[in-house]
Amino acid sequence: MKLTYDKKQEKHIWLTKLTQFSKHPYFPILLLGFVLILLQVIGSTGVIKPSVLNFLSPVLTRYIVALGFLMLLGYAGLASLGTAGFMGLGAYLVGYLFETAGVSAEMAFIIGLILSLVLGTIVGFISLRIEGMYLAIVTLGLSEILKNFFQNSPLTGGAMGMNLEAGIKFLGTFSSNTLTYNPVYYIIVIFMIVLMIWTINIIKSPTGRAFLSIKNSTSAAQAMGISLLKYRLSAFLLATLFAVTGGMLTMIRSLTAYPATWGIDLSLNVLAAVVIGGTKSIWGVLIGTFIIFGMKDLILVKIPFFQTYKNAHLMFSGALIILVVMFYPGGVIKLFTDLKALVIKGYNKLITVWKEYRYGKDI
Amino acid sequence: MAIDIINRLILALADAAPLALVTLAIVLIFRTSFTTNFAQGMIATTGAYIVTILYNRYLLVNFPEGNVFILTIFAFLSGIIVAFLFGVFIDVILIRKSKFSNALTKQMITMGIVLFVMGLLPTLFYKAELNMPTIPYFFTKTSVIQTAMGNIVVQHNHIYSIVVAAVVISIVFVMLKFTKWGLGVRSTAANEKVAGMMGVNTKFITAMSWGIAGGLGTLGAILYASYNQTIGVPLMIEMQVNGFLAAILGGFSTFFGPIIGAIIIPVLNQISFFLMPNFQIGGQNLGVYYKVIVYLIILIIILIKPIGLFGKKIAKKV
Repeated sequence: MKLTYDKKQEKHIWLTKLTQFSKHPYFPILLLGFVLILLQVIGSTGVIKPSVLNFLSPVLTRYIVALGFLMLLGYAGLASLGTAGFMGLGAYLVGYLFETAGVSAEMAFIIGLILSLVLGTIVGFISLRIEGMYLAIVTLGLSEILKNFFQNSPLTGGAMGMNLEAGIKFLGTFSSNTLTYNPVYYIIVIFMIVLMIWTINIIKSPTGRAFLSIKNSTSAAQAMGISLLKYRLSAFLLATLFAVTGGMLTMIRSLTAYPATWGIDLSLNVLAAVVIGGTKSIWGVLIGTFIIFGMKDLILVKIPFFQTYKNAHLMFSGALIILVVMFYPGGVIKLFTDLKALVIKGYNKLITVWKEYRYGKDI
Repeated sequence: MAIDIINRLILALADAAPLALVTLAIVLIFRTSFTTNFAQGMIATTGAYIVTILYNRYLLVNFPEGNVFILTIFAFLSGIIVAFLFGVFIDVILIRKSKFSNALTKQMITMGIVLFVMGLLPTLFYKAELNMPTIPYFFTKTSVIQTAMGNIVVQHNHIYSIVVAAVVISIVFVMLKFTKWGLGVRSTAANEKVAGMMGVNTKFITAMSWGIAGGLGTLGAILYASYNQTIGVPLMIEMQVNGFLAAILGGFSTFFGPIIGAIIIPVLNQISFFLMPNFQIGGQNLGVYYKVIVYLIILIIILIKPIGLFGKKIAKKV
């Protein structure tokens, strides 16, 4: 049977398809990416100040790192303190391979990912074989080793830091400190979109369910035939992969790396971003990252108190972690659903009051 | 050669003294609260800050004629008491009142405390003078013992910290063995629920353990800071990392195993410091990486023996 549509129906189908797509989980991610790219495109014509735009790329690279940490903390229920160490490792690897070994930046990126995954597998295997809680201890030790290495090795430039003065060419964009609007920003946004989509796919896949079941009860998960070591290790490797990617993108964007940057405070700030935003939602983590990292660069630098006391912002993130863990484990993202429920409840009550007034009380 | 080994052994023991105190504190909390306390180092640093600020800003100014010995001891004790109260505060107010309480949330709360204290201390004590007070005539002296084979160099503060740490650790072990609190700790460690049913006040036991751990950590920080006199926020970070590794190395399931782990790590450090400058990789001397080598050795030991050198395998019931 041949189907025929008139023009009105065709338009209707097109509209339904659009509304269907707007409910698809990818839609807000793509929209976000589009807006972020548009910001820089408009900004480079001179409408938006560069200082406003330049704070975005460090925040977005840390958001990539936090996405990996979200899977580790929120789904597999493990905490790691080696995040900053792995970020630093990625940054130094890409810098060293590009500058000294003379490899192209794309190749350096891939080699760096492989090397860090090997390191992550070793560390994860050693610690997760015993118990989940040991991961934080061993990764803390690892980040100390890495910091010691960054400070002393001639490969990393020691305390003087590593500086790629000549700039770096990565995936068709050229990054240099002389540029006001760095085109690597576009690459960062694209990476972010791809990794966000990958994250929600993992969360909804059997792997994500396995992570969650391990977090809720190890015994029950084992009884269902889920291998603890396999899934915990894969969660840790995912977090490592994201952290290293974030570190490499940071290096390609900012072109400098110092050993002091990759300290324990960065690891804990990433944890703070995940905990404060909400440990189960990628959008919550986005809000958390902006609260922790964006607020510092955009708002706190303008307040005299925070200019004098350079470490005072850590107090703020620490207190937020404690408060959120104690009283509001859902994080900031839960605030929206709670507010929505509150508004609906208030509206219904108002309607009842009006009806009672209009028609009299129902006895 | 033999004299050199003795000298290095004394240095290793001097490093082991504060490390053993910190490790004991970590294990005490692990056994009673079932969590790894990452704030241990920061609680101790807070105590050390209190000691230096109290001594330099208030005691020296208000009692310029006073006995230095008494003033220093007073400052030390106040720091330890503040850290004790801080530990109790964390357990009673922060952990007990939180909505969900499991190992992961406790870990996150301690990490939040690390971040908070890291911001608080430099803000509160901005540009403060941070010289750890030392007891004169005792701490700053060096003696040389001449023997037929060579000179044994002994710094007095090393000997005093070894003695203090040994005495305090012995007291804690005696308390664990013979007092009501020790019995409570051991029964809570074995099974918290059953201990509670048998009439052990597990809440009190846990709070006391947090307090004692804070005090022990501060004592460790004071001893450690007396070696190089100045303190800062990163004072205890490396010490804490070593403490955790020592606890894993010795095995979390006993109390004496971690102490032995805390002695093994500084000894390994000294051996590595002595041997590594002889090796080279790619033209670079391995001497600067002597700590990295020790960490790698510890990781290999953990890989071979995951429950630790002295750990007992505990069968869990579902």
